[in-house]
Amino acid sequence: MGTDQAIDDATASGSAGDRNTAQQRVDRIHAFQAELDQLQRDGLLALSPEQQQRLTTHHTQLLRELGHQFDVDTTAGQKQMSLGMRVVSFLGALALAASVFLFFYRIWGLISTPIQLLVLICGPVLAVLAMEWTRKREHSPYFTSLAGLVAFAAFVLDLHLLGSIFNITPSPNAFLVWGAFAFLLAYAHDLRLLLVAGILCLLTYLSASVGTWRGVYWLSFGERPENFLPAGFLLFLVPAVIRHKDHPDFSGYYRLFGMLTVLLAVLILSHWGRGSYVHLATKDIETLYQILGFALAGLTIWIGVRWGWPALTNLGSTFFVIDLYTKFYDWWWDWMPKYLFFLTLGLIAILLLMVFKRFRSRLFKECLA
Amino acid sequence: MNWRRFGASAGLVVLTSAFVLIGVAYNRGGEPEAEITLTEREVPLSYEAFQSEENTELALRLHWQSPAHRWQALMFEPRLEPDWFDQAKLEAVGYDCSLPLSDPSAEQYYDKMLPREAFVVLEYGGQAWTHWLEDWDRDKVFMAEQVNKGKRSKQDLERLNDAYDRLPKTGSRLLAVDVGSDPIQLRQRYPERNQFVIVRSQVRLYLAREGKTQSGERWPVHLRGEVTQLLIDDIHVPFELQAVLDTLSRSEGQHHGRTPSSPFVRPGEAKEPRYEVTVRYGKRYEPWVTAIRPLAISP
Repeated sequence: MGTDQAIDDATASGSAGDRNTAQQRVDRIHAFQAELDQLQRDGLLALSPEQQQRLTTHHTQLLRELGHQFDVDTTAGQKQMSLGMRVVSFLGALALAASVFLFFYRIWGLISTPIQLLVLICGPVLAVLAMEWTRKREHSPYFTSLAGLVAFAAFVLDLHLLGSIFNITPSPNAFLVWGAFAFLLAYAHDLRLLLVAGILCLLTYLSASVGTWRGVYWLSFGERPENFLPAGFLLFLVPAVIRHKDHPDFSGYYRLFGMLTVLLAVLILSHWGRGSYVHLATKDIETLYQILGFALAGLTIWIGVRWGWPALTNLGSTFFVIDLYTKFYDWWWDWMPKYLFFLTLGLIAILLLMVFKRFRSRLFKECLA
Repeated sequence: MNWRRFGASAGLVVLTSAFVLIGVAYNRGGEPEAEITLTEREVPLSYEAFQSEENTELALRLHWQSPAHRWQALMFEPRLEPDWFDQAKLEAVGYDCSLPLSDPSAEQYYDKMLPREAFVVLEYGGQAWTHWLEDWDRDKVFMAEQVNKGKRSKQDLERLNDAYDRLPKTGSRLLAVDVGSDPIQLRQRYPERNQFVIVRSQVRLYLAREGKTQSGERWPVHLRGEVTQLLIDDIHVPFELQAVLDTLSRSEGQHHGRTPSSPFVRPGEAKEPRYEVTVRYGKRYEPWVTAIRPLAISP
C-alpha cells in the first residue's frame, strides 16, 4: 500500500477523527516494528535486505507525512511531551476562564447595561472564533481546547450575569443550554474536556428535572440522590442509541460518567437512608441500597468484561471494594481490635485477588479456545 | 475556517441571549404586576456592594420579615401564638399532609418533605406592620415577666428592649402575610398593587414536635410552614441609577455589610433610611428598579 493511500485511510473516518486515526496508525507501526525486530532476533523471520530497506523507507516516509499533516506523536519522547502539554493546556484554560469571570465582575458596575450586554454576548462568540482560528493553524488540539474552555466559561458567565442584571428567576434550563453549547464544541472539535462539561451539565439538568417532577424546588434536587439515578442510566444508554462513528472514544465517557453517577448515588443512599424518597424504615432503605450497590458493581464488572470496556471493569471493581470496605467498617470497626480489623481487610484483599486471578485465567482459556 | 461549525455555536449563544432578552421584555411590558416604593429599611445595599474592587456590582437586598425572625429576638424560645402559615396553607402550596400526625411513621414522613416553590405575598406597612409592632410589645412584657420570675437574665431584656427601640425607625416594614401556588388568586385577595407584592419563594414544611416553653406553656405536635428564602432577593441596580447609592456603598465599606435594618446592627449604628427606591414587578413576578431618590435625614 502506498503512503498516500495510507494517509487517505487515516482521513477516511471524517474530519474530527483524523488525528486519532493517524495516531492509531503511528502506534500500530511502532508495535509492528518492535515485534518484527523481536521475530528477526529469535530467527523466526528473515527479510531480505531489499525488503527491509523498502519497509523502513515506507514507514519513515509514512511517519513523516502523518506527523507533518496531523501533528501526531511519532516518538515516545513526543508522546510524553504531549501529555505535559495537555496538562498545561487544561491549567491554562482554567486560569483564562477565571480571568474572564473576574474581569467582568471587576468592570460590570462601571459600564452601562447595553455595553454589559454587548460584552457578555460577544465574549463567547469571539472565543468560538478563536477556536476556529487555532484549529485552522494547527492540528494539535491544545490551543483549540484552551479556547474552547474559555468559550464555555464565557457562555456560562453570559447567562449567569444576564440573570443577575435582569433579576431573572433561577432555572435548571440554563444547564440544558450550557450542555448543548459544550456538546456542540466538543463534537465539532473532538474535545474530551468539553464533552465532560456537557455531560455534567446534562446530568444536572436531568436530575433537577426529575426533582421538579416530584414538586421539589429544583435547587434542592441534590438532597435526594435518587434524582440522579434516571439521569445516570440515560447517560449510560446514550452510546447504544447514538453511534459515535467519528468519535469512537466519546462513547466510553458517557458509559463511565453514567455508571459513576448511578453507583455514587447508590453508595450514598446505602449509608444515608434518610435521603431516600422511599417511605420505609431508614435501616431497611440502607440495607436495600447496600444489596443494590453490590449487584450493580458486579453487573458493571460483567458488562465491562463482556463488551471489552476496561474503564467500566475498573469502575465496577472500585465500587465493589468501596461497598465491601464501608460495610466492614460498619460491622467491625467498633468491636474489633484495630490490628485485627486491618488484618481482616488485608486477608479479604488477598482472597479477592485469588478470585480475580481465577476469573482472569478462565477468560484467557476461553480466548485460546 | 468552517463557517457552518462557527455559525452553530455562535448562533446558540446569540439565540439564547435573545430568548432571555425577549423574556425580560415580556416581564417588563405593559402594566406592572406591582409597583411599590420602599426605603433603605426594606432594600438596604446588598452585602456584595461592600466587598472589594473585585466586584463592582451594586445591588439591593430585599429585606423582609416573618414570625420566625421575631423568635430570634427571644433566643429561639417561641411563645404560643397562631401562625398564618399553617397546615391548610401547606396543602395549598402542594404538600401532601394527609397522613395523620398520630401515625407512627408521621415523623419520618414529614421530616422527608423537601422545599417547594410557591408565591408569597409581602405586605408593606399596613395592618401587618401594626400587628408586628404590637407583638413586639407583648414580647417585651413577656420577657419582663420572665426576668421577674428569674427565668431569664436582665441582659436578655435589655437586648430585646434595644431591638424594640430601633424597630419603629429602622426595621423592615415588608412582612410575609400569605402564601399560595396561584399568583392570580393571591392578587384577587390582595388587590392593592402598591402595598402588596407577590414574589416567588422557597417554602418548607416542618413538623413542630410537642413541647413546652420555659414558662411551662405546652404546644401539641403540628405542621408549620416557613418561607425559607425569596428566589430573587438581590435586585440589581443598573448603572444609570447608581449615582445616589454609589457614594453610600463606598462610605459604608467599613460596616462590612451591617445595614440599618439588619439584626446585626449595634445600637450606636442604627440610622434612619437615606434613600427610597421604586421597584416594579412584572408579568413573571421578576423585579426591577425604576427610580432611586435620596431622603432627607432628620438631625
